[in-house]
Amino acid sequence: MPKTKIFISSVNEDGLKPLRQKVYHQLKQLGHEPLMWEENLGPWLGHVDPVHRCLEAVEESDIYLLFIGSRAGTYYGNAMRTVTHMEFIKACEQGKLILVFADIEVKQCYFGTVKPILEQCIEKYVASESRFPPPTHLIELLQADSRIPSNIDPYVWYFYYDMTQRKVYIDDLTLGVPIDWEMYFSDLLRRGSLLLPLEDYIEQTSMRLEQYDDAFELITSLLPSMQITGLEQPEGALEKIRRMLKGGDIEQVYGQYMTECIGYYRDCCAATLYTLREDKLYLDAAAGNAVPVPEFRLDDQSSYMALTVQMGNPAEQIYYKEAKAMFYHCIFSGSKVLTLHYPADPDWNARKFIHYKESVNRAILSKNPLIIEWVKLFLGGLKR
Amino acid sequence: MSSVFVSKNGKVSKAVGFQPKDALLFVPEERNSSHILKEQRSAMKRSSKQIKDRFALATKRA
Repeated sequence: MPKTKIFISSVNEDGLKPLRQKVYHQLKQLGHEPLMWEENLGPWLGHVDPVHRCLEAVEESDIYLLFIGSRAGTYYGNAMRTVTHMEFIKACEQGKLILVFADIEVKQCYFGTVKPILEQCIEKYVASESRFPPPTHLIELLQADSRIPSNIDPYVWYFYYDMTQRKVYIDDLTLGVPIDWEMYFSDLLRRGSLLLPLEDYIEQTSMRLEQYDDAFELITSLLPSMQITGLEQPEGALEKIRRMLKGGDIEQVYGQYMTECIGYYRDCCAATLYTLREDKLYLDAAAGNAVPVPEFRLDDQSSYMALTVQMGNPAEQIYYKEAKAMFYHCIFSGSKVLTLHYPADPDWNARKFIHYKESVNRAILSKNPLIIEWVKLFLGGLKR
Repeated sequence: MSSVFVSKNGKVSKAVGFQPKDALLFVPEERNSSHILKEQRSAMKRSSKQIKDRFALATKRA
């Protein structure tokens, strides 16, 4: 019967050495297969890079077990990470089950003192540089801050920050107080027992998703070669499209894992459809609470539709107007221009839009891309 | 970083400084919903494969 491989990761610091050994033997006694560099990751042949070997062992493992104290361990400048942190990142990337136990005093210091200071530093840096600060910058700032205890390696705080951003739960570790492994693994067995019987259901759902994706692939490849004569009830069709399009949160992304909700936009409240004929756009239909203008000239630079048409065919653009408290998603395809209106939350203004422009674009474009793609192809296939 | 453009008083220009409430603001980007959809579908296929592979490992017996 295959055994559960558990990679034991920590800095080999004084306080944690006896714990590592004890845990290694406890896990073996329980019938599992612990992996620990000083016990069974060797032999350390001359050409073997120990860091690579440890990372390979993380990949081979089923569970990643991390103990974190007050020391950071060996730092690799090229990676800008410590070895232990690299092992943690590898475990995250590989989708391993991660169990973290952290010295209770260091953990309390992080959440009580360091975290608010760190978040303030990051906010200031992002406001001035419009990007997430590199780890070296954060560590320098923390090292210089007299409010933070100097007996703990500053890199440890950065490690804590990374773990919390990845939403990894950090359990308490009190040296001398044994960890109840039977309880931990019994809980894991319980969770596995709930999920394993769903194997068939989950596989079927996954298969259905692939089938729907294949059907979507076929429809989208056929649509451009079809000549669609038109919509019998354009207002009805537009209303159906409008109702499907939901609002959502707008998030600013910093680096790979950190996001911050900076606002929201509401469900699509209006939609308009225009046809391009020569140098003008003529209203076809409107839905929701739109109050459309019957026609626009193509050279009207105040019209988002005219501006979108000038961008090429097909084209797609997001606009914002503070006076209307509205985001507009404008789509030009074939001879049609569709505009979808999304009310912005009251906190939005021109200054905020300019600051968070990419986040707004990403939020609206990625919310309903399947529907938009289908609508774009359909509009493009409408007979001119 | 992408530039913000503004349409006001019938003209389009780069948005610099304070903008009035009735200004129309936009940021032309190459990435549109089609690109995002392609990424999402690729991610879905990868997740699907990962689920299959993980279940195969989890249900393997000696």
